[in-house]
Amino acid sequence: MSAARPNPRVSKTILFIGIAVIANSFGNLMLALGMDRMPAFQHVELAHYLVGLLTNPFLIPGAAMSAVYTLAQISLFSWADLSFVIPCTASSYALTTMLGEFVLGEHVHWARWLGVVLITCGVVLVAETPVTTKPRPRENPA
Amino acid sequence: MTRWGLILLTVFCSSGGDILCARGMSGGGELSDFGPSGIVRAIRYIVTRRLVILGGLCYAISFFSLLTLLSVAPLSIAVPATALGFVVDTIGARFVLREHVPWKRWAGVLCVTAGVILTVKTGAAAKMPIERPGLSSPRAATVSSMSRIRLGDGASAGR
Repeated sequence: MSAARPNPRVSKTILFIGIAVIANSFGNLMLALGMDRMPAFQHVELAHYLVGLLTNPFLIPGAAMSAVYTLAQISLFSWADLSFVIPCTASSYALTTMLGEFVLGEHVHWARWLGVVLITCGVVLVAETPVTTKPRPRENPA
Repeated sequence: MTRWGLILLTVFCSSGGDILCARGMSGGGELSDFGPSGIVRAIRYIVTRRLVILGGLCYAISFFSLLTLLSVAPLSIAVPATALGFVVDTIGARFVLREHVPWKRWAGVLCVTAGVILTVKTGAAAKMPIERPGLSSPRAATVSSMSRIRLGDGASAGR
């Protein structure tokens, strides 16, 4: 008797949701860290501000991670339901809260932790449903 | 435009963008090659889909609407209100995209929405006032504003 093989579409969906959630959360973290190092906009000239943006070690990687998040989420739409993808990628709110507490050392209010628990329960509920509920063209020509 | 008008514009344009992108991507088949050349082909495919481009325009309108909303409403109201987008997305998925939405998915979406509102609202309530004068770029305004609130207030997370 052999163990049931995991459905490749489900494995791919988990991988892409993981990529989207991590890229979004770390992208936000990097943008927050990068902007903390920027001067107040109204106190410097536009050219200096733009140079500061482009030479900031966190902002370009942060923007790149946000782009990865967007592409991963749009790719997911090619095989998974919108009503599956959107709540699952909301896990990034939970991860972002944890990053705030454990990386940035922010004090996170207990109500926010309750929110994290609710998001996790919601994602678990959605994850128990099929990735897609309607027939789709199998292969993309791209 | 009133505060609630801006909230509705933000939510519906964001959800409209999601629905258009989902419709645009679901008709062409499943992306499956994510090797080095496959990624380039996939990106080219995504950025040339008409509905995805329209979806991107909706995201842009939603983004600028959120910026305007932030100038007339407190963050603790504006950002949690946009979590309504999860519910609007699911309704759109059911009635526009004709997805079958099982009860567990509805329950999950409601849990996620409540969780996001709690997560964002408690963070936003504790934030510093947003400084916005003199910013010429809306993107800079948002990034700058977001840097002055605490991470996890989540205006851009997950949406």
